[in-house]
Amino acid sequence: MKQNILLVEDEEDTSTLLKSVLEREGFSVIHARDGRQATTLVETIRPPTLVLLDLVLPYVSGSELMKVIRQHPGWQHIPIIVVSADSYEPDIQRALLGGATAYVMKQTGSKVLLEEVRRLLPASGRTTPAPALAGGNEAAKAPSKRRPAARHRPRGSHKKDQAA
Amino acid sequence: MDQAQATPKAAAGEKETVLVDASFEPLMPQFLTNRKRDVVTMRETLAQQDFETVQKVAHGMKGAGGSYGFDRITELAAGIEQAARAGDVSTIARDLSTLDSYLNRVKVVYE
Repeated sequence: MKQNILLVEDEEDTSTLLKSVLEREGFSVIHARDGRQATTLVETIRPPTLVLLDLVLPYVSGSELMKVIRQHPGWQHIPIIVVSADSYEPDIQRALLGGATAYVMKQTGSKVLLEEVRRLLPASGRTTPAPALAGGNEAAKAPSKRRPAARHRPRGSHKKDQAA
Repeated sequence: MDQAQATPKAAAGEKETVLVDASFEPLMPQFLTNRKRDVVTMRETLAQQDFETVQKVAHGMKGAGGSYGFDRITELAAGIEQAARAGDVSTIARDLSTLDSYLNRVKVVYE
């Protein structure tokens, strides 16, 4: 039986890409386009194997949604990977302390995300893996020179996009 | 494997090349069309001083650029997002122009 992943992402092209990558890897993907739709799903569907969550969402933010998930019986131990374009260290720490199991930056590409999904899935259904806070940022996958989806020349950088 | 190398920025009018996994080819036309649409939306909303919408669109673009491996899009969108937060019209206008030019010059090569 396929493992279900709930993808909460409002940006159309990003959700299309992630859905395509995950389905190609054999996962079944349920997509919520905003926080309100995701909240409804939490109340109405069987818990998925894993949640991929953007933080900046219409109506209900990713942070608020994490609270809902963590307080909901049946969902509270589901691994949550925050997939965000933001790499500001305090935001990452806030997400990990707020219920995220891991934090992956969109700039790292789909291969890093898939590695994280595979790392977490064996533990699902038993316990929620503890947020990896060792080293301050271990769970946050910083942008690297490895570009699984694409290689880009020239490579730009933005101060705020550099992980501490 | 994939090593993105920092090279001097392409001069205006020169093509900039982005290497993309061939499996993403079907998604690419829509991705680029939507980014051009985003630029139009941000220009229109900037003209109305609607910084909140500019910030929102730029944030989405920053994430989409990152997901697809277009670092330059992410870089410029992040700058626009930050400038929109500060209400900095001239920076937004300048970066939108750079972004528009980039989107018209970028060449996608599938591998």
